[in-house]
Amino acid sequence: MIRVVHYLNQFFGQIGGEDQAGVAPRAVANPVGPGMALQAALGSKAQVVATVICGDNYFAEHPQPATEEVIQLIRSFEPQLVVAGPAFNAGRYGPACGAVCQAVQSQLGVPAVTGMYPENPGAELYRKDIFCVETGPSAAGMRQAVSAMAVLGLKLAAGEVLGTPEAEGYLPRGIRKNTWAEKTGAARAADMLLAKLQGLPYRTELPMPSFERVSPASPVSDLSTATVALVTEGGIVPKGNPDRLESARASKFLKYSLEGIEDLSGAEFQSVHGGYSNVFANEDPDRVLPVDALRDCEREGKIGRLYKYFFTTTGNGTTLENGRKFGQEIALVLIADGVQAVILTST
Amino acid sequence: MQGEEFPFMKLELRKFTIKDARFGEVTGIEQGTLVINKQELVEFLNRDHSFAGVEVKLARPGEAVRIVHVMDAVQPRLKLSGDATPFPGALGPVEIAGRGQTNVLDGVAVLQTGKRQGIQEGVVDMAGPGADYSIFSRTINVVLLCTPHPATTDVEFDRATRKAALEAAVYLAGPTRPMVPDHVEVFDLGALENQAHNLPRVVYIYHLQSQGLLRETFVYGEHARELLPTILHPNEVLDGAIVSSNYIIACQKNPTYLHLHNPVVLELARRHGRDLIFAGVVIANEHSTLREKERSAKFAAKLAWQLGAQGAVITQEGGGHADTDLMLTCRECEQLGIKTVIMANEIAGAAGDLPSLVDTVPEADAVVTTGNNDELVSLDPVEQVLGGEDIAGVAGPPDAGLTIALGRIYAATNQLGATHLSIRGY
Amino acid sequence: MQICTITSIALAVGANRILPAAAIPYPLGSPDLSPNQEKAVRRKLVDQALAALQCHVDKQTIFNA
Repeated sequence: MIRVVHYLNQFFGQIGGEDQAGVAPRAVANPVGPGMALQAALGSKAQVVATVICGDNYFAEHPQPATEEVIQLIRSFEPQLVVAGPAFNAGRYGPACGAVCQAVQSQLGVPAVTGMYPENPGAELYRKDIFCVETGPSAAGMRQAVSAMAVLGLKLAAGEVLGTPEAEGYLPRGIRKNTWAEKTGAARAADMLLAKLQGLPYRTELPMPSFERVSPASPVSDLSTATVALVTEGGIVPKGNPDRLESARASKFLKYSLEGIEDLSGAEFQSVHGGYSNVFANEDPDRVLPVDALRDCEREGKIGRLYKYFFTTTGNGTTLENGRKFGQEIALVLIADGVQAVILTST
Repeated sequence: MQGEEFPFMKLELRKFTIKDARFGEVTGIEQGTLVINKQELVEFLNRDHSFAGVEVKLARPGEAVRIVHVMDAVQPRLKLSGDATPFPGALGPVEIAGRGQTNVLDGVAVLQTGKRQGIQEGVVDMAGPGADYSIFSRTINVVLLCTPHPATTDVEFDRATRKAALEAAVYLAGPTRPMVPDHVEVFDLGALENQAHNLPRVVYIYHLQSQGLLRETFVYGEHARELLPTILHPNEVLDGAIVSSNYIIACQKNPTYLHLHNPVVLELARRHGRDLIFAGVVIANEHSTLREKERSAKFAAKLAWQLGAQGAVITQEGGGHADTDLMLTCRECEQLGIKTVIMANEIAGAAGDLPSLVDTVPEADAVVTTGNNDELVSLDPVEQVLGGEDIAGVAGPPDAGLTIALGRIYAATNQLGATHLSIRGY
Repeated sequence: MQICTITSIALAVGANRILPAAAIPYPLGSPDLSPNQEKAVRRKLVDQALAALQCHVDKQTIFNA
């Protein structure tokens, strides 16, 4: 028998409406409210042993402590599966269900499933990390939603390999896997364009991706005493490429000394970047890595000094995974060496 | 004479189906088998002593053969009329391509191989799981390996190897001149132009990548580096107006073979008069500065508008900043009221969980994906390796079983939509 | 501080201080000019980059060349 804990808000947990939205997390034995339908859908394979309930506002106003308290309660029942919601299109409940599922997976190592309307902000926030069944916007779709969550939850608890989001009914998590289509790309493009022109429904195969945002670094207060470093993805290396930096799909970055170098010469340095014509960079590598100009700035006292090494890699089909790793590793060295500013040149 | 039989922009592709190839005494076609006099071909290609050596080898589908350092692929072709060539300007005089009769060896590709400075080469496996990914795993390949003299410059070597591949293509198709083709495909788009007024007018915006040595695309023999977008008739594309010398990333470059067989042009041409009116091809280069990219995108969209386009399919070549060209052109078209579908491949990381493109616009709401370069594939060991003795970045023998990124396989995520590869979101 | 030609990509991937460069194959060059003139162009870009490093930014910013 699989032990299931069900997470609900104060409304579905039958504590009360908006006036009770501030209630702190609490646990009760056995299923409550939608938990009845959940138990029915789970059948004899699983048992809802407890329900953890938290007020919408309590969770929304203190998401981190609320998550911790909820997780403590859930943990005490030693579940093998956690089901949260469904939250439909409820704007506070959805993110709470998402946060609970994510924490259950990462902190307890237990599978979790929730259900939301695709436009619920909780879906956008958490769909990448959790399994979220697609539901309608309101509780009118309760029975269907709970049944889909039960089916998916049982599969997750059994460690089964899941099929496609369409087949299993969960919101796509943004994991991209190669597959073979019935038609060629060109034929699919023509089909999609005709559908778009006729106002018929079509589904893009690649929703526009979103990227991480980084908080801007504070400005350098006094450049005249600062150490400034040069970093490039332009593939600048010593002539002959002694360390075999790749021309594409780089697996590494390299660090070379600038000591005693006033001006990068094409006789001593070159580019191995496969993505752009190297003719100009090979004539004068300063066109990619402006050592000559920074040496002048150093001499004039405009900057404290130019950092004694430069870092280089090739940004040509290089994976974001590697790029991120290179960036983190380079930053660690620069910070350890007291560098205050970095000029990153890219091609 | 030809003008009467062949109105301007009527093209007959006369196809000779080739099922096998072997070396023999006389170059010719014997019941679907391409026979090649190797020595004659080598001597012809190296008649000016441009190379220190020329090797010609054969690789057939299903053989345990790996071809490495693949640079370009060309289909053997012959132009029947006068002294025209199937690659006007790039080989021989400039004639407008796209009319008359062109003989093609269907099922054969000439693969140019070898090393180039700063270029990571493509891999083609003729058997095993790797063979699922490249269309050149399914062609009979005549593999050329030209080696330069020590003093040959990169510029000279690139020019000579490009010429050699095109000359080999013409040489191999030569014997078909008096022969009757197995079938003929006629492209006569003009004839339908006035018939179906209620069909949507569709333009194809075809980005080329031409950015300097070894990253060049040629239009009628001239590189497209400074090209202001211009209009081509679909037949010109199918008949050799565009030749590649672009070797940047193995999986996502458009070989000459696929310019000749541009899948979007073929698809739109075949649906012309039935589902849509194919109103023309706009070629636009992917430039090296943002200003030029903006100029190119605005001009391409403007030309599509001038052609009366209601819709446009837009393709790219290459990744990174080529995404910017794709996105800018998409946005410009949509702003002019031209509905777009764009085609792109992805760099989503080995696990498929990273952002797939480096540039995006909200207008790009209809995208066909041609696969994730970063997904890993396992290749079987092979018995023979052609084209070189190593694979850049891969330790150990080149004939071993390998696990490599799909991005290393030649034309695997081709951005013209040549294959059935797609991506499913999980 | 990122100096790059295709600033839309820098914006997409999340760079905060961005300075437009000359061209992809020579972000800090201008091969048509004499060596001295070219160096002056490069120095100007570097000066702008250094100025940008001393600017407070609270969102992604392209510093106009």
